[in-house]
Amino acid sequence: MSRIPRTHRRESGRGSLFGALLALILVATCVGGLSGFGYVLGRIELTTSDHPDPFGPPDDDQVAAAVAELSRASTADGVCYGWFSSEDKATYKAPRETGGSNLGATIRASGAPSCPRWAEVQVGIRRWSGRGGGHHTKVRVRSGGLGADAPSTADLAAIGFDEDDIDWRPSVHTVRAALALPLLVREKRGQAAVTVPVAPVAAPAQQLPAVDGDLLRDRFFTLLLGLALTLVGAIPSAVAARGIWRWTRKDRYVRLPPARRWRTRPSRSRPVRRT
Amino acid sequence: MPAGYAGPDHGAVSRKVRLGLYALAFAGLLAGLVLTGAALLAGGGSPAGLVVDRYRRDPARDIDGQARAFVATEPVSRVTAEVIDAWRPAARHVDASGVYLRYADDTVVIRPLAGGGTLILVEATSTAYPRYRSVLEGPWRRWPEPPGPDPVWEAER
Repeated sequence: MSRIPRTHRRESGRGSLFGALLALILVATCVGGLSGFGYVLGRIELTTSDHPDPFGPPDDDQVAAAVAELSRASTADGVCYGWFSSEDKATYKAPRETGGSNLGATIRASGAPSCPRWAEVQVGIRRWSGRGGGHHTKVRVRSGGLGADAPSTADLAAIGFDEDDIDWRPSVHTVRAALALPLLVREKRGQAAVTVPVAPVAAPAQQLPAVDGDLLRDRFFTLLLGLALTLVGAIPSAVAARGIWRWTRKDRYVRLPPARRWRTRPSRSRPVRRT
Repeated sequence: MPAGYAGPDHGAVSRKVRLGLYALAFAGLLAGLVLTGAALLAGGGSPAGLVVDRYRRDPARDIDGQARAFVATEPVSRVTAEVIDAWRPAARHVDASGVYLRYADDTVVIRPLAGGGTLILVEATSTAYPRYRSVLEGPWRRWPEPPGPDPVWEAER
């Protein structure tokens, strides 16, 4: 049997528990911080190395697929769909303009004689160089002959193609945004979506590359900040809570001299009030 | 010096500073818990949870018991905005057949219905990708997705 009274044993047990909790919080903070730092680095590396030139033109297969898709939609809706982008920079003699549509990779929908009804995503990119250089992108949807069925710039933004999105890689995302025009026209007309051939579910020829979890991809910084604040705030709060707990105990019970405490322990049921 | 004055009470000052620091830490702890809770619970906890919370279930439109169908009276653009504002997709594709949003586990397909309204289909990506392979095989690989802002952070700003 231990010679240490129960009260002292309990105190030392609580102390070690408290120490273990503190150590756990510190270790969790370090591990979380390091892994978070690594994740942030990974994201930055992925963002900067994947697409070094934001103004690079779309690949030929991207444009060919877009023309084919818009061509199908145009046949179904009786509307020409297209895109147009104009890039302006001080070093250019004239703005660089590119445009395409369901009629072809270099034929614009607006102004085409075969297109009495048309809709086009138009993007203006203004670039400046030197210190503080950058670019600004302006997006709008123009249409002709569609009347109340005309899609608007706000509709395109609602579906995800706003200026921030297109600004990330303007040339490529202009073409991509044009693919959304047929859906917006169908929405305005109250038509159902085009039916797509649905394949029987079998293993795909090529698996999709894995993606990050939704929480990590979407709310990483909020989570990181929240956990960091929680952990950093938890340590002093725990210290304060322990201090308050000890202080209230000190206030409620008479602290007897050590020599007597070894023999006499105040009853829990009838605390002796300090006078 | 007045009689009985024993000099400045350094103990009281340091006690006040310590109490202030403790209060600050407690406020940080509360803010951290609120932020973490918001990140974990906002938007239904997951893209599928968001759809389940916000839209009306329509089992008659389910596909093969794998895609769960929901309907909304709002147009496609508004439903899409609600979903992508709450959860930024890892990949997406929009064409005349609908909006296809890829998430970590699930795929959300949003389509206009004849006469107005929107059909929303939620399905595991492992079955949705083979099902819509003819539409998605190129776009989900071909088009890069921009890194977007944190929606919870944006909502709180």
